[in-house]
Amino acid sequence: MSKTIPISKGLKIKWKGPFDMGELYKTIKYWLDFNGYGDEKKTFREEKYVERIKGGAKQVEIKWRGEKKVSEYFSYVIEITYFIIGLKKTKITKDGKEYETDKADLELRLSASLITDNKNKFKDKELLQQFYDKYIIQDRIEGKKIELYQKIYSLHDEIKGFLELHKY
Amino acid sequence: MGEFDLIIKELGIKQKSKFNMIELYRTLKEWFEHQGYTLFEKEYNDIFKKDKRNLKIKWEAQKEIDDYTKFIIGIGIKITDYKIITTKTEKLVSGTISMNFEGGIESDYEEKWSSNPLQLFFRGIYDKIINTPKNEKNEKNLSNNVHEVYNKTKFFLNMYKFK
Repeated sequence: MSKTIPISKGLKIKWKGPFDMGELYKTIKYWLDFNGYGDEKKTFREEKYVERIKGGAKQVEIKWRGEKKVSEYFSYVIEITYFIIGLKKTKITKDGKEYETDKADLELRLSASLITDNKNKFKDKELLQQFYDKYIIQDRIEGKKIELYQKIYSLHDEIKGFLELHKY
Repeated sequence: MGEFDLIIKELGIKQKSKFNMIELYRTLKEWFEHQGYTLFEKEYNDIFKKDKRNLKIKWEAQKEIDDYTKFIIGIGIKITDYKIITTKTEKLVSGTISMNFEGGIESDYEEKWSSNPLQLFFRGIYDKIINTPKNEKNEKNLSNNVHEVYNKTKFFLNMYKFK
């Protein structure tokens, strides 16, 4: 039976100020594609997209889910939720030149989970699966948890790096 | 796809460089073929952003050790803010290059031992208890291969510092 083990919950990035929303969206999507989570035909879903206009600014909520099959027993899942408040266009001056960009209060929530028995091979043999996971492949499960933990933090660093570049 | 265990991760190189990209590819391809690997280009992305060019490439080398075990070496390449420089003899890429090397072992890559839960269970016991000496030897060989290709790449890039 497929089981989901949460690896990181509540990993957040908060940003207030100018940033290019379109570029941020592309940067994260590109990271997911490059790392095998972004195939829209198989493993990537935009689970939520809600946009509201309030007083000349937008409020946007987006939720993405990307899954990557790493072997015939394990899959990694990464979920990203965007909460954007007060999104509007703004002009900024850099190096004597004026640029138009976006400005908002942004909160990104990242979470990752490990799925075992992704093909449901142990569907009617739960005891056997428990013994298998706990005594036969426990080192492998721990190894996979560490890999996924490092992966979600690599995405976290990529996003932070992008936003830092936009400190005007 | 069988069961994959990552043995070597995040062995990296990062430096500002001027080098011949085609020569790098040829050098590594030759090395891999000599070691019995097949090299695949999994991804190639040349991105233009305003006045800057960034390149992202993924290579994967595979070697079947026996009918149960396969070595896989992955190389990720990122070249940021690069430009092409033409000299009298060659075309060079000039930019900041980041490369990371990973190596893993795929077991039961033909999926002969995973069609039902009992097979999976016995395969697990085989991997954990019976196959341990062979696994250790394979891990050592794979690690040597990854370090060799890493060192070869470093040497190649450093050679261009003195050209």
